[in-house]
Amino acid sequence: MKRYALIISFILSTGIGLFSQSAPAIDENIPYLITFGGDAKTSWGDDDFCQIFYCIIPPSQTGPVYIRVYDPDTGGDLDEIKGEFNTIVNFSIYGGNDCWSDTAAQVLKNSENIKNGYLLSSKSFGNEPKYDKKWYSFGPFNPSEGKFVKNLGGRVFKIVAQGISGDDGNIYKYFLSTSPNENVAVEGGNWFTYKYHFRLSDDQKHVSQIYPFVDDKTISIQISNFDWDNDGIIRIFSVAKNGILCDVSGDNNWVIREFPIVEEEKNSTVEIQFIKNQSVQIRNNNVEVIVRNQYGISLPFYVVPIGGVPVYSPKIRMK
Amino acid sequence: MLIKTELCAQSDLYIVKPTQFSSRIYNEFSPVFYKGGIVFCSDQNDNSLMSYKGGQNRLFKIFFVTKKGSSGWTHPKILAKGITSAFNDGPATFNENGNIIYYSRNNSIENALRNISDTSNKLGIYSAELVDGIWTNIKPFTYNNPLYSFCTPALTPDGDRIYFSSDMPGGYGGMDLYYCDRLNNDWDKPVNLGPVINTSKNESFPFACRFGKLFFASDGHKGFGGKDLFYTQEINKEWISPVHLDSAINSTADDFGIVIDSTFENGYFSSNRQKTDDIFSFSLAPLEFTNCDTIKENKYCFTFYDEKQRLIDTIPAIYQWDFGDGIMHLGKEVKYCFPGPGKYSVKLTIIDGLTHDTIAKQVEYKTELENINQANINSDKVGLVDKSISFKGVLTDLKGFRITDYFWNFGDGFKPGGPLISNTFKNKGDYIVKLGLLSEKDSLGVIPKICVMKKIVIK
Repeated sequence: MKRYALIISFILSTGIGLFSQSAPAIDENIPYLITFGGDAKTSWGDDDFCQIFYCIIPPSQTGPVYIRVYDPDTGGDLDEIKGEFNTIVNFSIYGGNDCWSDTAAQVLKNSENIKNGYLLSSKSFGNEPKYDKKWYSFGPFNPSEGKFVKNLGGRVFKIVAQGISGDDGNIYKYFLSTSPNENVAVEGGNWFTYKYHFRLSDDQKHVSQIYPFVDDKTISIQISNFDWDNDGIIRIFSVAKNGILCDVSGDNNWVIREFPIVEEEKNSTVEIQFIKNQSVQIRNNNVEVIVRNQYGISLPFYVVPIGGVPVYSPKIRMK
Repeated sequence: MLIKTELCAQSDLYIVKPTQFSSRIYNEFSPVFYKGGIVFCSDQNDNSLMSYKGGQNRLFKIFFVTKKGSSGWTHPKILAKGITSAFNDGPATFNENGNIIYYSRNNSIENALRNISDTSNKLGIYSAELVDGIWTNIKPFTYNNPLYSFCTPALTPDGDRIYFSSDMPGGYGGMDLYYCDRLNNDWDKPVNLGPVINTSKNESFPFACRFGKLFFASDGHKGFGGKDLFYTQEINKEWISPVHLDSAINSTADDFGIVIDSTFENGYFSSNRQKTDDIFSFSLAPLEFTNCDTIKENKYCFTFYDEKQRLIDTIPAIYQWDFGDGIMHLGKEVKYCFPGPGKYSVKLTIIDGLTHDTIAKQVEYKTELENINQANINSDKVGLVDKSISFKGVLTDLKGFRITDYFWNFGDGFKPGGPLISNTFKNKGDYIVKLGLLSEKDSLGVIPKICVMKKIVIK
């Protein structure tokens, strides 16, 4: 863990490649995040109606920051309607020492634990056209209000999106900004989550990818995906994996597939790639993905991959 | 006298002893084989001849002895009056049929009263034919020159080349070794054996035996003192550095005029280690090579693959292999044969079969192919009864191993030979052919030897 943290710290401190503060990041090619109202059916693509993201503010950022949410309401033609819009989703920003801990990766269930930390700001959104397809800014936050985590290379804030009621799907995305009115990136900032819940593009040509980071203690990973609806294939790339196919889930179920991690993959990023079904167009597909190590501990997905996008490095041999 | 020693530092012993026909008071040297006996030079008296010089400066004549019984010799006789002059005659060499002799003698023999110490009467090479039991038709060698000496001729077994020594201009000093190749019914121009063989001192007394090996005497190359015996061989048109025969043959005295039989097991040489020139015999116990290695085949063909890809199933991917031959080889595993040893670069590009993105681009793999360091026998693996099979002994990348001797074993023990040899098998079956090689001495004075073997099937 220490080594992994040092690597992350180094990369974050040098700001290598970390210029995008949107979550999902542009390079992930994921249109939006999604959280359903608390009364929704899990078969619609959300098994816990909650999404937790963490943002990292590098020490170089001393001025105030804003956590901006795009289309925070549940209404309009972007969000996923189920009957009539009746959904309320709450966004809460947490700082303080308890907003993140080493055990955060184990806290994946909708419990009181997800609210650990000092609540800095909170707002619930219903069907409110004034926020439809608009940015809403939480903040300003003094970076010092976040928890300083040396190993992560900066101060950490937590944002929890929780479906309070209703059954519609709230579709949104985040941006870590130095401005309340526009998206101005915090240089060196990044986002990570332990359970990625997102909306896939309807475009069959779109290939999406997310980037879990594998630490040096990991010898195998379990990739779990929920409610994939058989929308094409999921495959794994890394420096040592050349697009291994991953089992995919159907409707309203989890599928877990375990892969070994070889030495050269340790302390590096793995790419999970989502290629949509090329023969049948599946629209409004929402999926959840968790990657756990052999201890059952979830690995973080960084929206900007640590160390860059993994490039498969073949090992040529002759016999 | 019985001297036991190891020739070329091998464990097999040479036994050296003076011949019975060598005397203690006269000089005998330069033996050659002739019709089951030995022809040599000597200044011993023969009552049938008139000598123009008495006392210590006796003239040398060509004598002949034959075997008598199992180990004895007849009394030496003058070989032939017809080729015996009133001056110095010999050494001599014969063609394989024994009907042509080349020998050296003083050029001027007409004036019987002239001073034989006159150094202006140089030696020349002469030939004669044996017709009806009489040596006749004496002819001077084409390149004889009254101003210089041409002497110690030695014909090759096939008679197509004659070696000799001369002090004619154009050499490297003293007496140098030359050869002439046969050209029609005469000899081509003399060729100096070059600086590897010839020194500023004297190289002479050549003896050419089978397989191209050339023995000679020199007081210019490093030896034990005086004239020492060496041998060399022309390999790929270059003479290898002279190999010094070891202590049984060579001594601190003059050692010269060697002759060896076709099996390299027995021979004679001349030496004045007992004050006068004497002829010594030597014999070699059969040389053995142990622990012969089976010849390994050089491998130039390989299957290339991505080891990581082999471990786990992957998506459809297009593997493009570039071996630098201008052809793109496709496949997760491809077989490729390189033309031979050398340094090669292999580049692999992997294309995603679904998205057509490049997964890995021009990933390079460098390899260097070397031949297996071993001796090798180049030959057919399968042959027919009563059909000759050629065998060629070659050495591959054995650094520091410079072949001096080849020994072949076709099932009847190791016999000396050359790099190229042929053998005929009389019966069907599997045979093991062995090749033993000796190298020049290493820094410790040890001569390395190696041995390989190859299976031959005769049908």
